[in-house]
Amino acid sequence: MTKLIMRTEKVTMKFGGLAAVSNFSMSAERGLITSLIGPNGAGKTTCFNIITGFYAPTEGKVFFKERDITAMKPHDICKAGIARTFQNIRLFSGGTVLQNVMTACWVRQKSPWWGAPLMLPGHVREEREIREKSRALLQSVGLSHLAAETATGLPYGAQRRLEIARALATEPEFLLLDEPAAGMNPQESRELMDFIRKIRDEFKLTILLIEHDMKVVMGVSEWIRVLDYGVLIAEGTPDEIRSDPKVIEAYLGREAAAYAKD
Amino acid sequence: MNAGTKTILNITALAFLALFVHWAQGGLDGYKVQVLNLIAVNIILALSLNLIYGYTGMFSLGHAGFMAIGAYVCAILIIPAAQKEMMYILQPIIWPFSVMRAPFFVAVLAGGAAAAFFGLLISLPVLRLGGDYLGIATLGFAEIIRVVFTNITPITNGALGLKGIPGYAGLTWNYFWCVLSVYIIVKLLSSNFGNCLRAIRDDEVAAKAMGINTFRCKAVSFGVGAFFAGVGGALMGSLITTIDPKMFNFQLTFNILMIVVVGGLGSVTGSVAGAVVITILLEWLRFVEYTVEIGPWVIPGVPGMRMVIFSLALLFIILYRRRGIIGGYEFSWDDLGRLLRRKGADK
Repeated sequence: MTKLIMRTEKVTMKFGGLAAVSNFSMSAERGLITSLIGPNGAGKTTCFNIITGFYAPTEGKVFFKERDITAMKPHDICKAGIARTFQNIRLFSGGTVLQNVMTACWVRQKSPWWGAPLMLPGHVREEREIREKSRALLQSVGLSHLAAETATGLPYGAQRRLEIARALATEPEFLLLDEPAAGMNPQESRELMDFIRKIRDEFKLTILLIEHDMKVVMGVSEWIRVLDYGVLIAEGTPDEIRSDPKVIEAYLGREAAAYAKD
Repeated sequence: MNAGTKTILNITALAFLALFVHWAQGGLDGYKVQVLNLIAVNIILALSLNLIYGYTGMFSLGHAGFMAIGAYVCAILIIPAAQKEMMYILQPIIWPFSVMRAPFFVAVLAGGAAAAFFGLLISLPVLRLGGDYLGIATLGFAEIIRVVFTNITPITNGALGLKGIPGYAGLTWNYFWCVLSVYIIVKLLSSNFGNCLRAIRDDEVAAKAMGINTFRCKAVSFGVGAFFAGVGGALMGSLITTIDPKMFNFQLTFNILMIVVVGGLGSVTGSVAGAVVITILLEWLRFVEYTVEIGPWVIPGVPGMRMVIFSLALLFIILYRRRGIIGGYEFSWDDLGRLLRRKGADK
């Protein structure tokens, strides 16, 4: 088993003339929590969309467990073991909390759709197992008391948790979280950090995280990569990144960076 | 309430329905029986459209096309060979359609299967479209079917249509198919596959990210919907014993769409209730199209007035009761049990 679970090779994504991401090579080490940071418009979410198959990159390749997944469809990539959450929460609004999680179990469900009207014993058993598995998952993220509620009626923090629970239901090895702390208060963000570490250990995940909240990024990441205008400008441990002049420049501008140095 | 109790209740309800159908056959006059027949067929049609539009979120206006396919396939299979030969006066019917015969059950099944086949066939290109575009494309499909059926005279007898279709579709057959379609669609929707369909409707991007092969699920939903639309068309053909291409125009699709919207998108109970209410109203409201005399005044009847009233009613429902006449409620024995217990406690 190699140490790297995912790597991108010189990925470039152009929208018309604009290169949202250019020549981007990165890798994620198995078991680590890695963050991808950068100012607004730096191409972070584009990277996520490329890795999860929503965009086909103009150039370059994406490998997951040494398998080329560049041209694969999002649902196949999910099946291969990559799950994600979204920057603006995307829950299945019509369903209950439990249904949201159960839906995500479909990707691992073996019995076919026509098993339902025929009431095949295998289908009935598998559906029951999925229900139990989903309940257990809700238990482990602390949402089991809300199982029967409508998903979109939940408080904001709980919706974020549910979205993560739903992603976990697809049984991923690699989890991408797109701004999980957005809109959270300091208390909630602290809880989120513990939660991210907890699910990493419990489900043996590798996590890649996009985040703007620097407290969360510095608190939870074990490795950080910085993007600016689609180009990777720095990477290192949280302490290295904190003092990297190029990062300060990207975030604050050249003058402010010079000022900070003085 | 445990699963065993529910099974017993379901069987009891079915037995009551069977008794009712048996009684209605002898105890009601022909007109009322016909209304009951139409209710059963409309339930099938409304459920199939609700599966496609209400549950999977695909705005499809092709129902009349699927019904036409089902009706023609079934009719050709149940009309005796000698009668077919006599009826095709423009151009003689070609082999093998001239000699094909099948029992009614098989004929209806074949009608549904043919509709499902064409449904899947057009789903390949059109399901890549979303929203309104899908509506336009499926509407176009239905129109194409109508024009094609008018012109393949050696098979469909062209604009003359088919007359004297054996009227096998009595209450028994209609309610048999009605119960079967309710059962299959309810089972599909209450399984995890049903969750997937609703997920696609609610957020297709998230559904893809969660590993759902959205195209395949949509195609299955579209195919099953088309199948039951074909079954509904087949029963309708045998019920009114005459079909011609003109019958399967947009008005037919609109009527079913109206039932689905009035009953509530994404509600099986709503579709059943909508089919009952709309079918009865469509018949009962005929009086507004007749000339009425109130004392000295004579109000001339306006043909098509019913549809004006229905369109207005639809407008009000869309404006004020978005979730349909029963508000998106879904029937369950548990709720009924709770209701009865509460009533008991009050006493």
